[in-house]
Amino acid sequence: MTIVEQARYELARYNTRRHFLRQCTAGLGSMALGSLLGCDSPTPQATSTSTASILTQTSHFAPRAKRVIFLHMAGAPSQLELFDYKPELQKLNGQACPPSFLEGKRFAFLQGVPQMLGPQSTFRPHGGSGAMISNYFTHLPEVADELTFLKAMHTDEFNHAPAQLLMHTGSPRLGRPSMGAWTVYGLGSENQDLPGFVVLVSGGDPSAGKSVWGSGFLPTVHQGVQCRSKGEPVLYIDNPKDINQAMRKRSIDAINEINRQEYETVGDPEILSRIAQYELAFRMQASVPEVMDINDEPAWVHELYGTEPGQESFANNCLLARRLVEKGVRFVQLYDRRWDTHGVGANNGVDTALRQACQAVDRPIAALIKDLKQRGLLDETLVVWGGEFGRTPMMETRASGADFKGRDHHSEAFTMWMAGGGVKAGFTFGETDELGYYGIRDRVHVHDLQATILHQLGFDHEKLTYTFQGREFRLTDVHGRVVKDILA
Amino acid sequence: MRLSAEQIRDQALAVSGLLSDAMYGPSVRPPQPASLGKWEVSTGEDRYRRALYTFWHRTNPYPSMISFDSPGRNLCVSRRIRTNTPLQALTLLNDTVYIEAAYALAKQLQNKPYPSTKAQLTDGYRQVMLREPDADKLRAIEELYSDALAHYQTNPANGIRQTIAHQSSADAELKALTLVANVLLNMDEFITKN
Repeated sequence: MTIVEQARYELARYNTRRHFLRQCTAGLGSMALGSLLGCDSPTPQATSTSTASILTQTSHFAPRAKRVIFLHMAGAPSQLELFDYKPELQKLNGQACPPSFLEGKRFAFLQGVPQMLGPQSTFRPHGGSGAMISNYFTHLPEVADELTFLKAMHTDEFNHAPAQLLMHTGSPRLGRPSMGAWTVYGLGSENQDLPGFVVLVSGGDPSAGKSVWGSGFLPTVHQGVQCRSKGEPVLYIDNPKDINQAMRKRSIDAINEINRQEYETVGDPEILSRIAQYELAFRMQASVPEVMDINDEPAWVHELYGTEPGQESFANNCLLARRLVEKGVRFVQLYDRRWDTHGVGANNGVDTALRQACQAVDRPIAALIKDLKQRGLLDETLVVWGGEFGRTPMMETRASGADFKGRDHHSEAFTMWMAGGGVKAGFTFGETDELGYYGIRDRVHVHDLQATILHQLGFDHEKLTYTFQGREFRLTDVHGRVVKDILA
Repeated sequence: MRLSAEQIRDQALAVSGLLSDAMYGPSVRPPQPASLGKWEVSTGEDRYRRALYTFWHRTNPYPSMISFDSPGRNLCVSRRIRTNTPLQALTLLNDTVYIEAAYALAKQLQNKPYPSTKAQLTDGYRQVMLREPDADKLRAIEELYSDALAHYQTNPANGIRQTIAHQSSADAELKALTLVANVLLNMDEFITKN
């Protein structure tokens, strides 16, 4: 074969492998061609292309948000004690639940005929927008005018794991890529030294486990990378004893040198990608601990968020979220697990336990929004808050007959809010009935929320797809419509 | 084609002589980072069983398997996509099992008599790849070894990261060989089938 024929052959081979090489730039293919045609060997810049910065697709239209911070309250906070003010429910407190609410319905735990449970908190309007927020939050009302509330969210699942999977991957079954994975698949990352999708957890992994930030059938380079504020920030980022940073660099240089020679012999473009990955891994060893180290923040910032340096805490994670988006991380997800207030014990109800949960997140969330705003980041950062479903207007009763003020899982109505990233500020969309059981106006399904988030990132959710098992898949699968009413 | 997740682990253990060929029996728990939660690490031979025997926790799986594209076992997967990520690099460089394999390999090299360092390092490559190294690759390995040896001889204490051992020249040699073995187990050709 002549050298030109060989180059054409390699190009054809490269194209059939495109499916596996979605994470490589076209530049790598032309580099392979280049060296076959006897051009100069790849420059150090060329081989250092980091997968994280490679765009596989550009957005479909101009985005309003460049990045997303998703605050997921795992366990499902009770909307009736936080944002969905129902004075009628208070009037029915202690009365038996009407049969129409029970007939033909399935509940996670409720048995028999439960009593109605009035809101345990008190509400008043806040800000110029008059948003109804309960007294469980003392800091959040300060940023009420930044928020768009979705009061008639609904979902199909009433248990944690399937509902979380539906919220984050678009399907209640395991195996699909998460919202963050779709986002970095579509947009890549602005920072060459950090993963494009970072996950921060407090209070324990959500029920659905690590699949909620997984990459499903997308290439694993798009998965969420969990960063920890206690211990190793990313798994395996610390070198073993006896290998310090200089020796680690030296060893990576040796690996890449050997790999480069292997590439000269074998010509596999994956080798070039692997060289880039090792270089990125080395840069991450510096960049990740640096971005995860909140000790260099001034005291007033720590005060604003209420951080606990050295510990795992939601407040730390909020500050970290701001730091990560400042450095160009595309999708940051916070999971906080403490919201499942069934009332199975004295300290598990929507009175004390929920109030304490709010205290843990109130200041940091308000701080995050204020901080993003004063740094000029809020406009292009979409902040989303919510759980995986809501809670019932009825008090939970279990076989034990216990009488603690808890609520069961409720898929028909719950509240989420969004801020920044091109959504309206100081706005409420959707309404539930007078007891907070059903959405009666402007209902938004989980898939609609996903379509809207992708829309703000510049994607038509029907067109951001990936071929798997013989068909095109997308985050919203065959559902979802963008909620245009809440867009500014 | 890159080896699968299970093959990479087994291959590293096999070439370093650590792999246990015990079959059957309950699943075992090789070491994983403590931050992943409760995980009682198996002792003795069970630490080095084939990847097949690793206990599989579906909501919190053994991380290096997932990094190397092992399916999560929630769905039937007819074909694994082979990806290339920095997390894989970090795993192969720093995961305990690969460091232990590198150390075992280094100890073997140290304990055998060789006419020269060149012969020693050639044998190291040969044990890992089952073929002779190219001259250029061998040179890269030799340069690494001599840089590492110089480093460990002049920096016996790595500050807080120091191991307990006495700082004899044999230890500097062992550390340098371990670093070389770490590099050998990270080579693309080691984890790829050509």
